[in-house]
Amino acid sequence: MIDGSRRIAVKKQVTASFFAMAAIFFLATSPMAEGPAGPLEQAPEAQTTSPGQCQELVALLAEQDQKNSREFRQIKREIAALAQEVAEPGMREILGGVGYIFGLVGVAAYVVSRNKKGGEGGH
Amino acid sequence: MHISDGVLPATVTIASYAAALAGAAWSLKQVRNEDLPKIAVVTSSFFVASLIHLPFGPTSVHLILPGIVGALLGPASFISIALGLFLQSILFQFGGLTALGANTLMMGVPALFCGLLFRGIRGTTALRHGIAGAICGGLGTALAAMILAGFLTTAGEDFFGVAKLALAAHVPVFIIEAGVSAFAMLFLFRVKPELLGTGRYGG
Repeated sequence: MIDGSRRIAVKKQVTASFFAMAAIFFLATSPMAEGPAGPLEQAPEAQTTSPGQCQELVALLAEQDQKNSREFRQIKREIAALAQEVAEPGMREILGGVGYIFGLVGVAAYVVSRNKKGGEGGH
Repeated sequence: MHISDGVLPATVTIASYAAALAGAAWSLKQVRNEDLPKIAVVTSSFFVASLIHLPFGPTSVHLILPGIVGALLGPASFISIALGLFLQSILFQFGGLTALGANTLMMGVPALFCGLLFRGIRGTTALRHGIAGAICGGLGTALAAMILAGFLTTAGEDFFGVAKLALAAHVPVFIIEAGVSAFAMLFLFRVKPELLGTGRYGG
């Protein structure tokens, strides 16, 4: 029961998270790839690029986090609504209970009528 | 207005079960054979009534109907309420099975009392029936709230605090219940007066 706009939002989020993951992967792997190379030559370059990249990433992650928490809140609300719906007795329980009552009283009436027959010799 | 499992101490639970069983046995003895269909209908109404939520201001309340059950069934109302509550507790999880005795006493005793009161104060006119219905409906619910407070006292609560809270929380119920009972009695008096006030106490 996901409507169109929410599906688009989910799709957007999936792509955003894909980019974020790619960025993290790149960040994680890049020092290792640069590791064997000359540290003296690479170090200044890494220092100049990483602050900007980091800020970008932090912003991306923060945005991502916000989106996720919004989505979680929505899902939690839906779960609560569903739980309430499940806890409420439905038509089946109500009709079943009414049926029980009539059935039990019917049995009582039957027993009474049998007793009457036995005592008075026919009814 | 249901007491849940594990609220009351064990001694009270057992004592209330014993009292409720004795009441049910006494009530069953008072049942006249020709009243059985009426008992079935009234029990079903009582069983379903607590599911009908009436909007009242910001919240919603549901009917309990001890007044109407008492007025219609008289001494048989106790067994009717015991059966209705039993089915509610196993089908809807309204109130626990262990608290069934206490719940039955809580609604059954007001119903018996209302039945007695209704027989005493109903006159022969429609208006008096309506007034009697309103009094029984409101008073029955108030009595149930008082008994609820009494039971909760045994669980270690302060009686007057709980009683005040229970009564305050049920004020809308008293009003709606009184209105519904009055209309039900007026209607029944007009269309089927022989339904009202049958069954004799202590017969």
